Parts: sequence; structure tokens; C-alpha cells
Amino acid sequence: MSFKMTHEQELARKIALEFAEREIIPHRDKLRVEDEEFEEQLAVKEAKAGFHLAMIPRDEGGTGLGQVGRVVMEEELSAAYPRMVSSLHREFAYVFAKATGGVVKEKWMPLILKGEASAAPFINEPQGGSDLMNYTTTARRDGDDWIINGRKCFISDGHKVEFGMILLKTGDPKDPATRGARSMTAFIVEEDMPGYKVERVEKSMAGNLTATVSFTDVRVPGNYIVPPGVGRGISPVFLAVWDVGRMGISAMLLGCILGSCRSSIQFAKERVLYGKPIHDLQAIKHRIADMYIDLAASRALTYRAAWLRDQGMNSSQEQSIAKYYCTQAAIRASLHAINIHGGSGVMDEYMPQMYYRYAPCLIAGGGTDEIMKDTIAASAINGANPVMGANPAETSGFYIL
Amino acid sequence: MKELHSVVCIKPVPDQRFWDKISLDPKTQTLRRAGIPVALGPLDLNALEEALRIKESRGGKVTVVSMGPPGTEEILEWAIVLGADEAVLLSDRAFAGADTLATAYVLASGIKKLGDVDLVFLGNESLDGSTGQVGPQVAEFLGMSHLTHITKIDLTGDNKLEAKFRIEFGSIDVEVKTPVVIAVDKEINEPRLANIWGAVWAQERKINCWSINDVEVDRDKLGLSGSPTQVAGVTTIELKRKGEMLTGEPADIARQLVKKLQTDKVLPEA
Repeated sequence: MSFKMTHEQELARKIALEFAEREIIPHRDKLRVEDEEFEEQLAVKEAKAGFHLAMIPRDEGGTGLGQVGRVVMEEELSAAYPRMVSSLHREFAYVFAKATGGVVKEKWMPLILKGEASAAPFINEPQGGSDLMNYTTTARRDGDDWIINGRKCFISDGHKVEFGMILLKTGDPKDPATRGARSMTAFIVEEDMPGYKVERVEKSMAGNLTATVSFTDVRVPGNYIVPPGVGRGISPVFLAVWDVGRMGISAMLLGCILGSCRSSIQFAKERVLYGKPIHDLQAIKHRIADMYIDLAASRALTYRAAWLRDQGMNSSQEQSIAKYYCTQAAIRASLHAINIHGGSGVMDEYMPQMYYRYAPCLIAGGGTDEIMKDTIAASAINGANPVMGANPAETSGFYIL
Repeated sequence: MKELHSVVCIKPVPDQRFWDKISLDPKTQTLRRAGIPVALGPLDLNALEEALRIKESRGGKVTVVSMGPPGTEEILEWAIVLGADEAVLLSDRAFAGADTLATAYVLASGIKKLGDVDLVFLGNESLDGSTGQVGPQVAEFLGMSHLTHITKIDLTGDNKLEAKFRIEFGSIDVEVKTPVVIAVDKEINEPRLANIWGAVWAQERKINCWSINDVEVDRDKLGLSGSPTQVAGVTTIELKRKGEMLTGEPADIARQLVKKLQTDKVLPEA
């Protein structure tokens, strides 16, 4: 058993930290006012730096740094400014292209490697995300093609992505063979397909954007169905949501905790009260200790979940545990940071308020706290051991990576 | 066009983020550097950047060379992360205590061993010593031309280049034949940030460690004993400030303040 980062992983963190120190931290004033031009330029710089290539193996043109390498980099970028981790959508693009293979992979992979393609999962519908059986978006066969109709919402940066993986219904409720889970199919959809329309873009309290996209008679070729195929759409979508979504979100939450710790310690050293720095006050010390404990625990859970995936193991439960814990810890840590900063903590110019606003924005992505607990409980009740329960990926069905 | 082999000489300097932790040992007159991380000097980054740009435009390779104690590998590795193809660390107890001349001698011996070198880049001066002597000295030992304070380079042929060097009130354009030693100023370029591929290159590319037995050198010209200059003493400047409280009505305080500033010759006499 080893808890040591590899040298390659340490270098990955250093590269991300240097990027953050030059390209993000000195420009936080532009990010605070949501300077769109600057944010787009920054996203291009992140793409050129190649952060999204970590989870792509060497033989496919990536750096092969794996999930751990990816998580440590995204943690550092998030600590600098949580909204500016743009690699997630490029990682989704890779996972979707790989899962679909064929013409989709041929078309998108060269662009993905250059950082010029991004994608999003089109899952949520207005009536709910996890209630799959009541989805209303459908596809019907028309010769070799399929015709999609419906609407998907809460798609992070959905107005910017070039393509996506959509989960919808293809089954007939009256046919027992295509009912329930067997009614769900995943397709690749592209933003330039006729009938694909970004209906609205909404802004969260932390400034990140989500889109609602409608599909009106969108014609999709049969080879855009994501394997295993018709009526088998849940597993590829879920795996993408786990491997990219939950791992990435946990990394971003780690960034919120790390950033809260860093800014609080710096502030506690500089702020003088009663003639001495406030880190000498027991109340402040204990808050810092609580934040550090949360950072250590969140890292341990997240890195381990990432490491398991790098070993080819199924870590879906570990990812759920990490995401749940990191969400709670990030909210706690950023609130501690606000308390340590006093009045400054809620001011725009200081980071604690940003972490505190951003962490809750990550609750829903990849599943709410309640969904995480549901899956964790199901696993526990089924007898999985939380430490030794990981199975090789190939034994747990369809795995993309 | 001919591919070019560029060598970049780099020096480990204390990481600027930790300068507040550095102090002077009053007995030995040396800096207490223990525990202070080292980093590539800022001008070394400009030198490396220029060599990498030439490699990207013309092909060839970039080798980074440094002389220093074990631990210097860290900055050589970072140069590889940034894009250098290989690295050489010249490290031996016999090299220790070298002044600029003995340092340049060892660097030149390493560059000679590398063989076919077209361009040698350095920062014009280091962040800590700031002598600006090593570049010209390396050129002398190698028998090459040298250029200092370079702010622009244009490769104009297989064996020649045009360069602009800074002087006090302007600049001068020159044309030189390669091989040449070039000491750069910060205006020459904006050093790049590392790409994530750097983490992979660091695993794949090699840092060669050469000791006194790996290079052809005259032992009398090495280290402290081979250094014609020695540091005789270091004086630190102590800054002391005195606070004085002026009291009274605002108009009185203003009058007192003006008078004091006049006494200190900050303001002219009325």
C-alpha cells in the first residue's frame, strides 16, 4: 500500500500550479466581473496547456497521467478560481468519442487531442435528472436514422459545446421487452444538427452557466448510437457521469477546500488583532484545524477513488463517497474561511465567498447528496466492503476507460 | 535549412517566493540557503525560451547545462518540462567554491564535450550574483564570438544571425556567424508556461551527470583554488526608521511638518 504521489503526478500538480499563478490568480478581478472575452481566452490557454489529456492513454494520443494526475491538476486550477476548470468538457468529449467509436471517434478525436472540441452529457429534463423512467425526450427509428424530439436542461456550458451524449427513450411502454431500463438509449448529438437549439442560458449564483437545449426532429445516423446499443443507454452515460463528472467535481470541490485553507492561513498570518496575528487565537486555530482535517479526508477519498480507476478497478462507490464528502467538506471549509476573514470574507475581492458560492453549485452535478447516499447505501446493503470492495472494471459490465 | 543544436546554461537560484526566509551567516559571510527551494533564474527562462523557439522554427535540439551540487537536477528537470531535449549536470566537489571564471571554465568544458553546438544561450546575468561575466567568459573558453544584452534574434542563414543588443540610450544591430554565445535580456521574449506533456518528458528525457572524470579540465582552474576572485566580505544594509508623533491642532501640525521637511531639505526654505 502506498499513499505517495508519483513524481509524474507531483510534476503535473506543479505545472497546474504554475499555470494558475500566472494565468488565473493575477487576473481574478476580470473573472469577478465575468469578463467573457478574458474567460474564453483563458479556456483556450487551458486547452493548449493540455490538462484534458491526462485521462487519455498514451497510445491514443494523451499523456496517460490518469485520473490521479487529472484530479491533482483540476484541484489546483479550482483553488485558483473554481469556475475556471474548463477541461471537464474536453474530457467528456473524449469519453463520448471513445465509447461510441467508429465515425464519431474518427471525426472528433483529432480535435479533442488539440483541445478544440468539448462535449456535455444531455441527461437532465425539466422534471428531474435521476428519474430516468419518466424522461420525455424520445427517438424513433426512420430507416437507418433516428429522429430525436425533446428537451434537456441544466447542461453546464451547454451553449458552448460542440457535441454531447444524450440519454433518451427509444422503447415502447407497451412492449415488455423495451420497457423500463431497456427503454433508454444513448446517442451522440452535434450542435450543428438541424433542429438542435439552445433555448436558454441560465446563470448560477457563482456565475457558471447552464443551458437548456431543445431537439425538434433532429435526425441522427444509426452509427451515432452509443454502444452497447438500443435499449442499453444507461451504462455508458452513467460511467461517463462517474468517471468524468463525479471525479472532476470532487477535484473542483477539493480546490474549494484547498483554496479556503490557503487564503485563510495567509489572512490569519497577516491580520493582527489585540497586538498579534489572529492565528494565535484558539478559535481561529481550531477553524484552521477543521479545514485541514476536511482537506486531508477529502483528498484521501478522492485520490483513492481516482487511483482505483487508474488500476482498472470499478470505483463507482468510492467516487460517490468522495463526491458526497467533498461537497459537505467544501461548504464547511469555505464557511470557516468566511468566518476567519470576518467582514472581508464576504467581499468580492476575497476568495472565501466565491468558494462558498461555488461549492453548492456542484451539488447537483453527477447526482445530489441524496442520490450519492442512495447508491452508497445500496452498495453497503449488498455487502460491499468500503475499503476492499473494488472489483476489476471488466467484471462490472461495460466500462469505457 | 540546417537544424541547430542550442545549449542553454542555467543556474539554480533561491526561489523568489522564499527570499524572506534567506539570511546571511555573519561568521561565514555566506547565505543561509538550507531548506530554500531552488528555481530557474528569470533570465535563464528567457534564454531557454529563445532556444526552444529556434528549435520549433528550424528543428534541431536544445540541451541545458548547469554546474552545481546534487539537487541542481531539479531545475534541469524543469527545463525539460518546458521542452529541453536533454540536460547535463556538471557536479563534483572539485567544482565547489568557483567564481565566475572557474564556473565558466567548467561550463565550457561540458559544452565542448557535447560537440557540435551552434548556439549557446545564457541569461545576461544571474538573479543572485548579477555579474554578467559568465557568458563572455564561456565564449572565450570556447573560442566563440559573444553577444550580450540581446533583445532580438533573427536567423538569417545556416551559419549566421542578426541580433539587437541594448545599450544605455538605444540599441545596436549586429550580424554574427555561428557558433556564438548569446546572453539575453528579458525583453527578448515572454517565457512559456509548461505544458502538461512536460510531466511525461521529465520521465523520458535524460539528465546526464558529469563529474571531473567526464570532462577534460585542468584541475588547477577549478573550484575555490582555481578562482582568481574571492568574496572578502559582505555588508548588509540595516534600514532603521524613526517615528515621531506631531501633536496639536491640524494647522499647527501642518506648520511643524513643513518646518521639519525644510530642515531635512525635502522642501525649499520659505
